[in-house]
Amino acid sequence: MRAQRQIERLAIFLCAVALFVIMAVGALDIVMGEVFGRYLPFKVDLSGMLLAASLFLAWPLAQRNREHIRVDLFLQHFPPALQRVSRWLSLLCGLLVFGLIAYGAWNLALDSVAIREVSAATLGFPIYPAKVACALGATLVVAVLLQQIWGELRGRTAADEDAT
Amino acid sequence: MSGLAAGGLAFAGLLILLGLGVPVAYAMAAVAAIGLYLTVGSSFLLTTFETMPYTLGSDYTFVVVPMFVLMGAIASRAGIIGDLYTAANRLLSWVRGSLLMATVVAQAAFAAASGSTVVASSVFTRMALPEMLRFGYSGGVAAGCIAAAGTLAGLIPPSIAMVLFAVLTGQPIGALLIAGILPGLLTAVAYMVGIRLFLIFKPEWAPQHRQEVTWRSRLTALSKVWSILLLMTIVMGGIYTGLFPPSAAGAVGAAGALIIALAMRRLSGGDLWDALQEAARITCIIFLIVIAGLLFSRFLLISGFIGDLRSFVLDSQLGLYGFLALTVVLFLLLGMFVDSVSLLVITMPFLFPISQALGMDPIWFGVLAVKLIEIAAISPPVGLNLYAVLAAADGQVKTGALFRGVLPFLAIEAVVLALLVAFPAISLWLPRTMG
Repeated sequence: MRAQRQIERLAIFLCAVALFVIMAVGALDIVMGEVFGRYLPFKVDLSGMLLAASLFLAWPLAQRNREHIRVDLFLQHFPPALQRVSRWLSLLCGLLVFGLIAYGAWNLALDSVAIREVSAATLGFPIYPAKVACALGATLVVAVLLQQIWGELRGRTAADEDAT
Repeated sequence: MSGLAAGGLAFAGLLILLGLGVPVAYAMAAVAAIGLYLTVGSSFLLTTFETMPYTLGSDYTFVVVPMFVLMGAIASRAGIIGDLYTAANRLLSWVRGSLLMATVVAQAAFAAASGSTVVASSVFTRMALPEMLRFGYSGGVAAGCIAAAGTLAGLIPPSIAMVLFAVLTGQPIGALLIAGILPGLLTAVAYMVGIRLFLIFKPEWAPQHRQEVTWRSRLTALSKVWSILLLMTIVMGGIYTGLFPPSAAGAVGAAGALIIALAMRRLSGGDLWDALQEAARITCIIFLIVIAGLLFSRFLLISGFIGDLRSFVLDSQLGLYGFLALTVVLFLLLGMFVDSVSLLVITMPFLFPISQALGMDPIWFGVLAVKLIEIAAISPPVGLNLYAVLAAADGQVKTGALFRGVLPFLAIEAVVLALLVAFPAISLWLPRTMG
């Protein structure tokens, strides 16, 4: 459990670094292009790859903190039994969705690793690590969801989970 | 099963899941997954889930979303909002209701650095609400003004809502961002005029108060807002003149905000780290909803729902204005329960194709759609901005007072919406002159 939390924290760290790199590369590209007439040839591929990786790596923490947007207008008025149904439906729908996303992401990642996929830009750099990161991110979400389902089975609330 | 029946069932399932509190993204994607499986089988379903999330996530065009979020996060941590409010307050100190008007002006200016309506609403609540209460302003109207002016960030670029509309409909991001400028400014002016008119009939909402402000202090305050003017010029000017594409404008804007904040010595390493993490968190949540919306949209298309609905609307001879009237009603009803982003994602898959079949300009429809979701954001009982204000108000304003206080601003919004419908040029003139 503790190891998984550390992996999730590492994932959000990589995410933040990826966003910083996207910002720096995007701004540098415009400056280079406008001042020296030479745009960065790898900007599009690199930024796109980092964006995808940062999204997939940020999802585990969003699920851990249950930050996804929901309509909670009626939720507080539900009786406890219906609130439990709501929590179960949320977790099962999440599991279905991220199970499919993780399955697809691993297919993409394994194909990419098999051919050592590189970017099509002039300065070809490996793309497969980013696809593996995406697959790992999606898998981490599945792991978080399974933990939350396990917690639900044991009758533990989100607050209990946070305390551990 | 007909397309309309399949789509109707999907919408019924979606509404039940949403009503039960299932996260919007999970509800939409789960319904889409089951629908795709039942309509075209597992092979297509698996291929769709394999390709769509990564393809969307790695599309360079959409890099603009996290960059605009980051730009706003850095700007708000650097204290730019405080500078704007002080400057607007000192400049308008001679007008009755000056604090309400200063809130509108400062929020309009901050909208040029941040695309998030919620951020603007919560920060301004902490800053402007205590000041207005101190001078005896009506708490409900003051809070309603803050919530309503927060929606200006939805229209004035960089607008996240406009970018999402572009993502969902395949329209040019640059033209949509520029199209929001005049409607955004029109809304701000309408708020100012409206406040002045309301105060004639309800002077007790904002008692006259004397603030001794010298011209020197006005000029000092103005000199501190150069940063926001510079950011505005960089981002909007770059997009408008075609100097750089909107995708690059996001990175340039975020880097510009960072350099300005560092130059003003107002951003620590910890602040930057927080801003990056906030941008990562918000972006991943938004993208999951968009991915789910596109999956849902694909199901609606494949099931035949969109084609059938389009034929139904065209056959029923509703006409453009009949369709717009129904759209307004739909947004007002759904907007009472669903947040702005989700509202856009749920409705665009079927509303946009119909608008195109009726011959509407896509950019004009985009502006109207974003205006409608912003109105929804201040419509009781679920308007997202209202809750952002309530959460930040720490009990200084009661829910009922806020709901009543926002009503005058909803009336102003109705007038602005009517103007945008009657005069499409307000939305279309600027994008047509773009470089």
